[in-house]
Amino acid sequence: MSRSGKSVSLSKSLLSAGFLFSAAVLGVAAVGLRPGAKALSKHYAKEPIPVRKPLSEFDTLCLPSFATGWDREDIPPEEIETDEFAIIRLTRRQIAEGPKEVVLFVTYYSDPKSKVPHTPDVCYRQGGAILKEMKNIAIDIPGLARGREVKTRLLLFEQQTYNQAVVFCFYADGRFRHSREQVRWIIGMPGNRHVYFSKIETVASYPKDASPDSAIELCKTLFREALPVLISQHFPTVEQLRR
Amino acid sequence: MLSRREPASDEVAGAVTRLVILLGLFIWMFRPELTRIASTAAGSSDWVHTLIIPVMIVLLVYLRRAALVQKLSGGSPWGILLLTAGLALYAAATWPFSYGYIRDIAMIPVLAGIVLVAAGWRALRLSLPMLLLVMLAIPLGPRIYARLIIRPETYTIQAIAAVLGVLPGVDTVVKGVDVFFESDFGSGVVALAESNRGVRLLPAFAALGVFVAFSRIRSIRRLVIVACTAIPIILFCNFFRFFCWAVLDVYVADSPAGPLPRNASTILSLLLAYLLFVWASAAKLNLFVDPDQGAPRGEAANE
Repeated sequence: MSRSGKSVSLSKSLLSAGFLFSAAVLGVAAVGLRPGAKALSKHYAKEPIPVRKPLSEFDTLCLPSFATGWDREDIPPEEIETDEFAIIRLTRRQIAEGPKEVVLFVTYYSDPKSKVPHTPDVCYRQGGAILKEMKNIAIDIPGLARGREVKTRLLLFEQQTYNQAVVFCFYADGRFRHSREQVRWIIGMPGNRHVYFSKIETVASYPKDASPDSAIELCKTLFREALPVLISQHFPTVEQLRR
Repeated sequence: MLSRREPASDEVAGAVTRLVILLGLFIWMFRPELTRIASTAAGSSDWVHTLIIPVMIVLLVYLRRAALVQKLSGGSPWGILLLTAGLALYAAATWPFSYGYIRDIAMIPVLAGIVLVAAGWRALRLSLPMLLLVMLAIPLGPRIYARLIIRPETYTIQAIAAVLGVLPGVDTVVKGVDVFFESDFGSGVVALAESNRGVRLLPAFAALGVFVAFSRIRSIRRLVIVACTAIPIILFCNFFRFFCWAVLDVYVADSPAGPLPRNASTILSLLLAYLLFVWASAAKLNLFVDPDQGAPRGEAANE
C-alpha cells in the first residue's frame, strides 16, 4: 500500500463512530465530570443534626435490669473523634453469678465529613487483645416501636488475664447496620437533609477458663434495654432528618 | 493477500493510534487518582509494588506483542458501554456516595472499554492480565484493609508464635498483634514498628503471581492450576516473610527496628513467591498431558 493510501486508511480508522464517540465521552468527562459531581455534592450536602438529649444524660434508671443493684460510673473517652458520647460502666453491688460489670459505649457523629470509626474487631487487637471469634447475631428488641430483631456483631476477645465479649452495631439515619461500609452507604444516600450515625457497643468480661455465655447474655440484655432508650430519647427522629 | 490472523500494518497503526489517544484522555480524566495512587505507593511499603506495575504491564505487552498484533481488529462499539459504565461508577462514587477506592476501581472498566473500542474483543481478552495488575496496584483504604486482614493476620501471628516457640531456647507470647519473644540472645517484639505486620505485601505477592502466570500464553487448565494455588502461595509467602523476620529478630538483629530483618525477609519472601509461581505455572504434572507442550510458542491456546 502506498504512503498516501496508508494515511487515508489511518484517518479512516480514526474517524470511526465508536472511536470518536469514546474520545468525546472521555474528553467531556475529563473536563466536566469531577467538577459536576463536586458541585452536586456541595449543593446537596447534608447538614449535621444534634441529639435530642445529650448522651452524657443517658439515664440508666430506664433500664429495667440495671435500675437497681448496679452502680454507674462514667468513663473518660480515648480518641473517639466526637464530643457526643456515653461510656458507662455498670457494676453489680452484690456478688452474683456471671460477669460483675458491663460497659455501655455509645458514640454519636453528625458531621457529614466524619469518618465512620474503627470497629472493635480492629481496635481491640491494637490494644493487645486476641480475637477468638466473630459472628453476626440477631437480638430481639421488643422495646422498639416496630418490635424487631436487630442484627449485631458479636466478638470474643482474649486479654492477658481475662476474656471479653463485645456486641456492637451502628445506627445510621434511623437504620441498624453492623459494618462500616453499610453505614457509609446509608449516610451517602440522597434524600435526607441531615445526617448522623452512632456506634452502640456493650462489653462484658469473663474469666479465662469460663464459658462466654453469661457475658454474651449480659451484653445482649444491656443492648436490648439501652437501644429503645437511645432511640426514643436521644437520637433524632426520622422526621427531623427530613426537615 | 493477508490472512485474517495477520492484520495489515495500517490496521495495527490505526488500533495503536486509537489506543494512544484514548489512553491520553484516560490519564487526563484520572490524573488526580493516578497522582494520589503514586504518592500513596511511594509512602507505603504495603503498596510500593504499585510503582513497579507499569513496568510489569509494559513487559507483559512486550512478551505478548505477537499475539496482540494478531488479535487486533477495528475495535468494537461495545467498548463505549464499558467506558460509560466506568465513568458512571466514578460519578456515583463522588456523589451521592464518597468512596475513594471505588473511584480508583472505576479506572478498570474505563480501561477495558478503551481497549475494546480501540482494538476489539480478542485484544481485550489478551489484555485482561494487565487489567488485573492495574487492579492490584490500586491501594485499599487503610480502614478497609485493616478490617479485611483481621483473620489472616490473626492466624499468621498465632502460627509464627507457635513455630518460634518450637525453636530451641525461644519462648513466645502473643498480645494483640504483637509476638513477644524471649531467648538466650535477648528479648523483644517481632517486626517492631510495622503496621499490618501479619499480612504485609499480599497484593505484591499477588501481582508477582499474575505477572509470572501471564508472562507466557498458557492454557486455561494451567491458569486454573495457578489460580487454585495462588492463595496458598500468597499466604505461605506472607507467613515465610514474617517467620524470616522473626528468626532474624531472635538470632541476628541487634536493633529491634533495624532495616536488616525487614529488607532480608522481604527479598527472601518475594524470591520464594517468584519461584513458587514459576513452579505452579510451568511444572510438568503427571495428572495430565501438559498442553503447553502441544502449543507452539507465542500462540494463544485457550486463554
